[in-house]
Amino acid sequence: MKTKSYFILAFIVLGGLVSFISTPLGGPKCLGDDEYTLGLGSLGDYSLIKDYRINMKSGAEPQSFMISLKSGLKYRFLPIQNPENKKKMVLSIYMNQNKGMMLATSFNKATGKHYPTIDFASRTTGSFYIFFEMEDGEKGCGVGMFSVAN
Amino acid sequence: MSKTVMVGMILISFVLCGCSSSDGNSLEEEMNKVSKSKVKVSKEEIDQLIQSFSSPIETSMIIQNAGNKFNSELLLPTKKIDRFVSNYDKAMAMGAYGGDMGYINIYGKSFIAAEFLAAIRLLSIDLEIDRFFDFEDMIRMAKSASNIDSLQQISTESFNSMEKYLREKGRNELSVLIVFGTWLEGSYIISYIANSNLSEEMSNRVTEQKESVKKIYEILVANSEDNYFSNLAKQIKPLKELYMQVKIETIMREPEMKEVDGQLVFIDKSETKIITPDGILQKIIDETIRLRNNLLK
Repeated sequence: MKTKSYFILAFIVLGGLVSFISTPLGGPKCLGDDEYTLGLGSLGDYSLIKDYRINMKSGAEPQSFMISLKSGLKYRFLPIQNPENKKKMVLSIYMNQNKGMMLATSFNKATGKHYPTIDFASRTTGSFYIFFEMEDGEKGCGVGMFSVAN
Repeated sequence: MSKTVMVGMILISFVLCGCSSSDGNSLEEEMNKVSKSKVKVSKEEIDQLIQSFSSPIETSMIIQNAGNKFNSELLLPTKKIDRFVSNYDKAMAMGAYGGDMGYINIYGKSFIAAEFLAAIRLLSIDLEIDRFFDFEDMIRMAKSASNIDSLQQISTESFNSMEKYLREKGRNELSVLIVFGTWLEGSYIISYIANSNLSEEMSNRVTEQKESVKKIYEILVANSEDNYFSNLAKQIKPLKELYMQVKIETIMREPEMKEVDGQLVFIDKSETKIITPDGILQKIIDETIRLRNNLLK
């Protein structure tokens, strides 16, 4: 009887440990599948090009990825937040990897307002960078989506 | 008693670890079956390259937005698929058929998508990457015109997952060739259309391929110790040299920002000037068509 109790206890402890390890932040589950599904539902008349699964530790550097934009096309970018994020994930587009000129962002610093989608009407063909960072360097996760208007 | 608990915990650990990593192990084993290539392309280079190429959807949209009608004669023939012999040939062909799928989907021509999916299926089986495609579902979608949006989405997701997997598993050379095939097919369609309709819009679409050609040439040269890549670099070199004569100047300007119905909209205010010496554009078009037909048809 006592052995059985130990087994149950061990199972609970180990299960919790595995669950903790599988979520690197030790907080919200960051697989991104739910956010991805949510994002697809918000695309409307836009077609998905690429998605980015973002998972950031506290104080982490922004994550960046090269993207290509074509003149004459209208793009939509979505930062989809994990519901357990304490602060919002910010999505921004910059001219180069050193940031340089900012072309678009989901966070308006002047008003402190976050936007669930940003649209960018491109007049330039070339390579740019999409950046993801958590507001105030908080830990958190989410999914970024890059789509083009049909 | 404590020994029993210890044994129990170890057993539970094995069961849990086994559950979480069984997929990874089988994938590893499968990848080990594939012979190692001599090609050494750094992950960073591949990531940069792949992410800097437009998707087939974008390429097809600019063709459609320019008012061009769908032309099935432009598509890569799906018959005699066995003309693609090596895995490298197959990867490049798979990319090209993926490019054609983008063109077919954007124009909503689902009735011809099934034969392209069949070609992609055969190639992906040979390359051992068929698990990323739910072909039955995709062919079912292709048979119904109302499902074209879903087919487009599932095609994009499948290709994205496959590329990510290849890169993560160190099969960069296949990844490069798939991207190269997609780009070449898209450039071919643009060039073919521009050949008969040399509007300013289509001329710009041809010349804006300059950056892509430069990047693909650089990565092929960097891996020219592999004969296949060396041969590709030689074949694309004349096109790269033609593009060297095209001057593209972009004046970047701060975009205009406005809020529309609660959404943030940015309007690009940049300007691009393209200067192409007389006769060069036609040579680029001819060379692109020649290259695609030589490598894929």
